[in-house]
Amino acid sequence: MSPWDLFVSIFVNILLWIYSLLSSIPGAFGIAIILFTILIRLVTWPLNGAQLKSAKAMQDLQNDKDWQAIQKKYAKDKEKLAQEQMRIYKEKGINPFSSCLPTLIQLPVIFALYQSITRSLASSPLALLQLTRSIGSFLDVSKLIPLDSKFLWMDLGRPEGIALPIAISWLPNGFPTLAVIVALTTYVQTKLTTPPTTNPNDQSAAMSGMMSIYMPLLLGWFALNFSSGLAVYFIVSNLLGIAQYAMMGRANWRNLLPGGNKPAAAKK
Amino acid sequence: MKPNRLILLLSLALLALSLSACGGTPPAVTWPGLAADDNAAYLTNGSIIHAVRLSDGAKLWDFSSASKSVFYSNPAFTADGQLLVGSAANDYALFRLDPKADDANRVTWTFTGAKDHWVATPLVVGDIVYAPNADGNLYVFDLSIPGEDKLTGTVPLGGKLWSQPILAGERLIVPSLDHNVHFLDVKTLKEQTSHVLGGAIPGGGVSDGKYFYVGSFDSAMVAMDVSDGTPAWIAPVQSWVWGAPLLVNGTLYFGDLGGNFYEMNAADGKILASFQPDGAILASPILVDGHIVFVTENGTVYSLKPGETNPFSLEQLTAKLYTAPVAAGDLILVAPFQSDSSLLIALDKDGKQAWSFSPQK
Repeated sequence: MSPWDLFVSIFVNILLWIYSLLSSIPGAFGIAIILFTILIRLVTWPLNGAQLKSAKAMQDLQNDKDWQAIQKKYAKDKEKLAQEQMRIYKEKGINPFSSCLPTLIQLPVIFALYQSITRSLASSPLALLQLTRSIGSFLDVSKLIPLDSKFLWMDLGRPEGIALPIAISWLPNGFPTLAVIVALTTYVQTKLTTPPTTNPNDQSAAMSGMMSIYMPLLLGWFALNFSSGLAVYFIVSNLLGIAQYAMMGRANWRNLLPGGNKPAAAKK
Repeated sequence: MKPNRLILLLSLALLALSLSACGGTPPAVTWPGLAADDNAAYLTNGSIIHAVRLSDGAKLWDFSSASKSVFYSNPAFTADGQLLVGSAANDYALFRLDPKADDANRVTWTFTGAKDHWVATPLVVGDIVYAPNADGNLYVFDLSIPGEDKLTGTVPLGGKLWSQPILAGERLIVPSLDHNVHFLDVKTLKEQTSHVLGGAIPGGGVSDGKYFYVGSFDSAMVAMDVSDGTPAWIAPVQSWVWGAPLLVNGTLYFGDLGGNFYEMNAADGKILASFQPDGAILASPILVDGHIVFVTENGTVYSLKPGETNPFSLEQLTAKLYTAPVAAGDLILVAPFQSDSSLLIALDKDGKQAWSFSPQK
């Protein structure tokens, strides 16, 4: 078994263990995915905390005299400005890309979760055989298989969509409710954690700005085309992330408004 | 476009591609299906159905659909010698193919009203077709009805229906992956009773008209009265049972995923003999010239004289064997899975290879 297969098998076993505790409840697999997402959020809590710290440091940097000085001094020399910015980042121990880190760190988790959902639902004989062989002996699999893939109006092993009164060729599964919610919640979460900026040439701010556009589109595309179980993960993970930022008092709600991505001082 | 923006876009596109490659759509790749008539063997292997001449293993024709179908269930034959085979791709199409027609006229009928994959082989009784689908419905067609709309009934049974139904007298018996065995009145298609087993039933069962014999992931073989579904006996075995048993002269022959092969008295479930060949057994055995022929995951084709416990190895392949072998005239057809060389191999009764088929041939 390759390391990656082992990683996915761990996910499958955790997912099925949670499912086994809930299997008598309708929609147990959907609930298992939600609980599993909460578990992952708890495990990555320190990472998110570090990201919040970094975002706050970036915010504070906007009011730093040295920072403001180099913005003015090298306004016309972008290369020098970038060098100076990196120097200050280094001096203050700030990683300018760390606001993207929690999103990026999710990617191997997304891959593994997607595979664990499809493996658990075993839609072909070979997939069923592989599933029977990847589950630990602590689970009574004979009782669990096949998993109930229904959750609310969704089949968690398939892309979600609500039937439309007329057929649209580029929306074969109907209106993609979950994909829209995934894109919206990803946008909100990314915006809330994006540090404000005064400098249009600030590369890290520009990267964060781009992430706030591309990540919702990317995750929305995933939700549109892949198992709805993955979309459930995205939504719950995003909502938990937003809740975490709000609870810690770090959510930058003004970022959600047009032109809100600027520090208060700059608006005066 | 600024370089950093381009890098970010490319990175995200790469990640999207990675996820597609890692996961893709729910897996439809699995071992092939196989059936044969007097003239040809038909192998369902992913996007292609191969028709192979029995006399020499030459290709007769290939079929792939415009709707990007994926095939792996065993084809069924209609009364007029056409093939019925369903797709396990998201087109959910069930095709009737005329093996004698030219390529342009190969498809003689298509049904696209199901909502999930076709895994089970349909049961054909005269003009009537009982086709279970993974959406939990049993679709009933009358092929004598002219035109495309041949659907005469849809029986919602629930669960994923992966195995071929069995007709036993007045009962149509439909096992489900969700542990249920459904007993329907074949005339009214009303469910008379159902019985829940302790595990999933991926491979179906067999009947002698009085009892229905089926194994499950509950590590047991069960005999159920076809009239009311009541279990007559339940016989525990070593491991999970996948394939349907073979019933010959009152004895059931079957294997399990633990690599055990059993000879069991159909009257009382008593194990008459058991032994361990060289690997897990998923496929149902077949009867060839008075011998029981079965295949193992490790690629061995065995022949067993009833009543004995020392099977003879007919052939050892460097591939996995999950597909049930098929007897065709004097030949035994086996469909290796993940083989580098052949998709289909024909053996004579002594195990000598008559021919092998690969798509390049």
